Amino acid sequence: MIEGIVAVLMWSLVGWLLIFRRRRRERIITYAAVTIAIAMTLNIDLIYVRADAVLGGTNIATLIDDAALMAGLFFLGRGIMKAAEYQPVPARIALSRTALLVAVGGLVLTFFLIERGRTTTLFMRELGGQPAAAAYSMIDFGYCGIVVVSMALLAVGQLRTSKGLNPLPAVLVFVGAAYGLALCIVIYVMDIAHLVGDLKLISELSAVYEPLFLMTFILLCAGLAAQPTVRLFQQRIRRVQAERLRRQLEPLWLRATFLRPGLRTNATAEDPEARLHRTIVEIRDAAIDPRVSLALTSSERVALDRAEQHLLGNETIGLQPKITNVEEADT
Amino acid sequence: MDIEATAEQAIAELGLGDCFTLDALLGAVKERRQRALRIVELSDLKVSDGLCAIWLITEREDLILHAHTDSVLHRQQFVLHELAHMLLGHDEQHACDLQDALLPDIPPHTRGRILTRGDLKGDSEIAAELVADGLAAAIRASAFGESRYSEIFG
Repeated sequence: MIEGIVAVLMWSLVGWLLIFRRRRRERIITYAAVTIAIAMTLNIDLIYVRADAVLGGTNIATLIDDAALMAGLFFLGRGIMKAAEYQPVPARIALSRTALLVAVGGLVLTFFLIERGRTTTLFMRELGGQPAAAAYSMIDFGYCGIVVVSMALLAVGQLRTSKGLNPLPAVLVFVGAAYGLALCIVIYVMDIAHLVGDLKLISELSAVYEPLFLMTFILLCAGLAAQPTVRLFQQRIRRVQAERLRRQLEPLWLRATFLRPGLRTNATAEDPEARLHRTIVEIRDAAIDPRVSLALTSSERVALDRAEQHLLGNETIGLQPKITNVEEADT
Repeated sequence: MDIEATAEQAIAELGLGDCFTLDALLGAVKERRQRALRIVELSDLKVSDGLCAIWLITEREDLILHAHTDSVLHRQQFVLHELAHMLLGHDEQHACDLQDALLPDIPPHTRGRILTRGDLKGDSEIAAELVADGLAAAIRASAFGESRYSEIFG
């Protein structure tokens, strides 16, 4: 039941990312979501039993499932490293291809040391008493733990610097990652309890396992879906403002480019902010060119300044790109 | 390859993504060219030919000289246009002989080639201006609070 809910959540996230990030060049998070969605789908009992039957009925589907989860987490880890301003060496090593290969190698090795028997949907519950099975699970969730801790640290960094609506997705990701870390710790304790035969502890921890598993996926999916949604929402508002400001400048721009022809290109046609940028630059070019005479009224100057402040981000968060190493000199 | 594709490729080759600050861009250009880079505002730069900025290549450094403007955005465009010439490798293709008219006080032995931002005529000027627009878009994204995080996850 819970595996089905998680699979639906993951495929919903994939669909959401495909729609809301369709124009983005960077796709690594979509790759991560697709791979993890495949792993979670294979985790559904009905699908697992059929897939494993095709693979010979010796629980090979578990290995494929967990390796797919690791691959998905690897993509997520690569996304985290790309997004991080600061990349400490331990994090770079932990989220590297080499670490993935070592983890998958360990997973394969320990998997084939387990006496697996016939297909079972209760793999760890039935086989977790074997040291190889405990090692298998610990490698799997150890890798998972590294990625969720990195995710949590990245979200904290984002929380420190973001304003407006931006902290919301980061909060969701942080709490989701915290749940994920708690899940990994619970699984580690369950693996050890299984080895030493502490059935009472296993029974107690089983009660929190499913809620932790579900909450981890709900919160992480919500956080990962919210980020592009917030970005698009903010971008839409900015673009509407940019188009309104550009229209105000259009008569002035027409006069300016009549006197001093601007750039003839379609490159900026679709982006209102890029069009506004070009409009301002071409008006300014004409205004300082002594070969032509472009007179600006006071209301046009105000509109030009307002449009420029909008593009410099001063209306929204008070940032202004400055050329810091400019020297002033006379010829 | 058309001019727009050339411009897109030049920005992509920087490896800074879709969102970066001007400081990050200046750092990347310096690293790429393995040369010092200086930006100087010349209050008396003659704009009689519609000229706004010059890229002067000396033996030791790249020097961007630009005219005065009250507009932050316009000044940024002057600089970005010259940086765009650097990214497009135009120093290897073009040269012009405006030194004597524009910069009479600079001794000939310190001069290299120069490229100017004036009228946007010719493929190289149009390509540089398109790259400058693309760079401005990335700097704008940074000013709007976008980051590597929102580029990857947003």
